[in-house]
Amino acid sequence: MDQHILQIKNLRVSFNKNKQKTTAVNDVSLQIEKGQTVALIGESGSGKSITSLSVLQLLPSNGQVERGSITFNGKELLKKPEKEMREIRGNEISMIFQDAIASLNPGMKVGVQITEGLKYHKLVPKEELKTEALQLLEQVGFKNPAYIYNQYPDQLSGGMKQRILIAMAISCKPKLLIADEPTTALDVTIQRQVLDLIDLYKTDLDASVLLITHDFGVVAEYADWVYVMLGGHIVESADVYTIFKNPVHPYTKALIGSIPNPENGQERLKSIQDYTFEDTSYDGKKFAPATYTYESSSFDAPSSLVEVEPMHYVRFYDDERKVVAIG
Amino acid sequence: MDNLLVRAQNLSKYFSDSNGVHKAVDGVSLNIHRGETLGVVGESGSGKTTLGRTIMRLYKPEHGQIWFDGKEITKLNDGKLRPYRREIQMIFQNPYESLSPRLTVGEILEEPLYIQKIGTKKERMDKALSMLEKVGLPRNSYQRKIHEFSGGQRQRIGIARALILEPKFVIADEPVSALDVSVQAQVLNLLKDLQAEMNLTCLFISHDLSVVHYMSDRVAVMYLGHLIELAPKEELYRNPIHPYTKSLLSSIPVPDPERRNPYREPIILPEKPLYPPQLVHVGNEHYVSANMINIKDFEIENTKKQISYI
Repeated sequence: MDQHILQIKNLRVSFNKNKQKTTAVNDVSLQIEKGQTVALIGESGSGKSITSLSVLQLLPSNGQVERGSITFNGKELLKKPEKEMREIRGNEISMIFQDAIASLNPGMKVGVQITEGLKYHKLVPKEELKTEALQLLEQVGFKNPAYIYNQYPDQLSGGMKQRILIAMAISCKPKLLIADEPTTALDVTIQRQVLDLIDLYKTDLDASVLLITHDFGVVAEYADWVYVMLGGHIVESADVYTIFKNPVHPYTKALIGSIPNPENGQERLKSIQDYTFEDTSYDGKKFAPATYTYESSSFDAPSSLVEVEPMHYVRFYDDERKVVAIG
Repeated sequence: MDNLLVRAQNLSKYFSDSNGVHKAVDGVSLNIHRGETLGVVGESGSGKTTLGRTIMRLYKPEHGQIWFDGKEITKLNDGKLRPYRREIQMIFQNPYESLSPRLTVGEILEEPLYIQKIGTKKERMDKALSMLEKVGLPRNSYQRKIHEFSGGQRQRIGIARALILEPKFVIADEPVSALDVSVQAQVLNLLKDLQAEMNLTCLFISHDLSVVHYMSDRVAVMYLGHLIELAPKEELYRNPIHPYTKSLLSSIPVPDPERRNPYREPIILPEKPLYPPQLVHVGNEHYVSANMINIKDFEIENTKKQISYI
């Protein structure tokens, strides 16, 4: 079991807002092995970003982890004090955020920004910082690193800023990269460049990637293992081939079915309404109470993950009648 | 020429700032037939949105001419354009910003009717209610305000507003790029249905090639303000010629892990030529920028292909 670089067990995160408690992430367990790209897929509000923020303990101040454990290389992260977390962030686990524009300091040359981690974590002497920065810029595909070094974020395009963020994230050679929708705001050609870059880094350093996305196309191209999230729960997980060949949960089917694909010349796109919980079941088991819709953002009905075939897990609703019968 | 609804000839729109003149759209010519959907793809900054807005005459073009329904509208002033505003409508990209937060949905929908002086108050209300039904929103949306709706629902309202005047021509500018994938599918299906029902001609602008393929009959590729390739969609996706189009197509993620290909074509971003390219016809209604292809090579390839078809 020492292969797992990251293991999350039964994580539950809730938020306090106006003295009301809402559960954003409920009973989430996932693991990432060395050298793997694991995709966490779901729509806005499904809890995928909150899961990744809990790993780094960067939750907003009104959010707290109620239950569960997160271990990185065998060490429990949730018990670590802030000071030790700081040694891990950016050094052993680093994050590429969705919004490149908001994550860079507008008043600082990008070349200086990308070496901040090196200065702090690796204690690289001042004289060598610039050489390191130029190397990093070259590594993320800039043809004129010396010129880019002196630019401010405003002077760069969206794709360039995203590459600066990647340079920053990989500067300390972390073993785990968390990429939170790294390409959502980018054009297709740039999206491919950015994802290829992350993939290359992963292969070169035998690192792992947690890829957070809502695009099953991206998942098909880059991920090894897939977790599908809905309403704070993981509703299905399997390796990428299985999930495309044999999706079981209606929500997974809906996400895959709604991608327009130029190759199969579909006349009509499937939409999420084509896959309701009503009347759908698998092997006699229901996915959710029939009255539930995808908009019921928090699934409070008792449910559990079931292994439907080896290494393929799907969440089913625990029918009350059955519970009574057993009890 | 009766079959043409929109014709743009050598259209250019420049913007200037302290850094000089930026040629956002440069020498673009295209025709849009009645009832068809012409897709426009390109990256941010390629001029696709400016092209849409210039054709609609929200911008005044620097050069070139635009004909709508057989009449030239290039030089008309605002007052003379008003009747055309009824025929040409736009669906905007961002449903969070393009709808007023202070008006009720009913007021948003009735505003275009009011401006065009159509119907009595009662008739306008009936029309708004029937439009809500058409885009799949409940009737009680009428007195609600925009913040009560989700992104997908807001875009439905944006579509209802654009279609309430029963236009002949609709320009949809990235109508689904702000939406989640599953909601995106619903909105695209709705647009397709309404288009068939109301016999609309459409200019569909998007950076997402899969979405454009799903919606369009023909596809135009824009690059740095120039139109570089134009063809019926099957032809373009099967047989792209311009290196930039090839890069675009090979960058679409294929939703099938079995066909993952680590050796894809490299991305080629050619430099912008000094002058707008001349489009040449290479068969099958396929037009491509002349300075980017070696015509002779292509001809050989093309004849080979024709042989293989026989």
